[in-house]
Amino acid sequence: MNREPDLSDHIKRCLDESVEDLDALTTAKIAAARATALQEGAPKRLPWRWPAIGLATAVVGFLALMSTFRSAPPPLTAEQREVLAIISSEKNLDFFKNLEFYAWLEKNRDVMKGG
Amino acid sequence: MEQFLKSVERRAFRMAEIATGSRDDALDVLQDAMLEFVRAYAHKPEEQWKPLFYRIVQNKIRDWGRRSKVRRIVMTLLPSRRPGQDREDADPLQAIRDPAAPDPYRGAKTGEALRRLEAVLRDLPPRQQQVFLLRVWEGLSVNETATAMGCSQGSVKTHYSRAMNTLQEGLKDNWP
Repeated sequence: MNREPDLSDHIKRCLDESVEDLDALTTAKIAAARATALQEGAPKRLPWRWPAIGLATAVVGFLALMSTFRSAPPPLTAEQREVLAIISSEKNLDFFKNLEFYAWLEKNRDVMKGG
Repeated sequence: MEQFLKSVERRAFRMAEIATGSRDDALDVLQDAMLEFVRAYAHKPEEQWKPLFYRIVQNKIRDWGRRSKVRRIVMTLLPSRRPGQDREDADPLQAIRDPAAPDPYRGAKTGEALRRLEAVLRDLPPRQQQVFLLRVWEGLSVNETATAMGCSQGSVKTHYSRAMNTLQEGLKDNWP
């Protein structure tokens, strides 16, 4: 009746001894396998990622905020409005064709007034 | 996690070595099992680690068995191999001992006992072998062994009982 527990104990002790007597090379390989598993198996943590994402978000938010609250551009002067009207008017496309002439006219305005 | 792996890795290695009959294959099994365990179960409660780890080890051993079977079939199909040259359950290359390898056994008596034990363990059907080692050596409960093996507790008891009978029969004349 006591044969079974004795046998189990003997087997366990025998197997335990075989583990204790593993050679150094095998032990080193097992340790290396464990190190590899811990290194490759652990979830990848990138400590720089979240701060970088936070910083980028903050910069974008700041720029968006600045563009929203930025003061309106100063009102155009009468001369600027006239120039804008000329440029944007389809009817005055000839203005661009004669741009060189108007530049020459502006340059020689004083001469023409004097003449 | 590292402490847990340290506590189980050598026994798991020896279990894989007994199952595969090869030290290199056992290392591969152990490496794959530890990697998969860390990836899949590191977040689980620690009290569940041992049966889960051995479940992966058993799966890896089973995968190794399937691959070996396929390899043997392919080898027998090669024209240079004679039919019936290999036993179905033994790879002759694995049976060759490396004379330069250090003897892992302490003394002649212990070494002989271990060799005899391993021979009987290897002749067990894989499920019986695994159940026996997990129950007797690793000390898992019936419930934990069932979890590790992916079977019912009744199956664990049946496998254990049959393995014990075979071992008693196989070791009665040679056991110290």
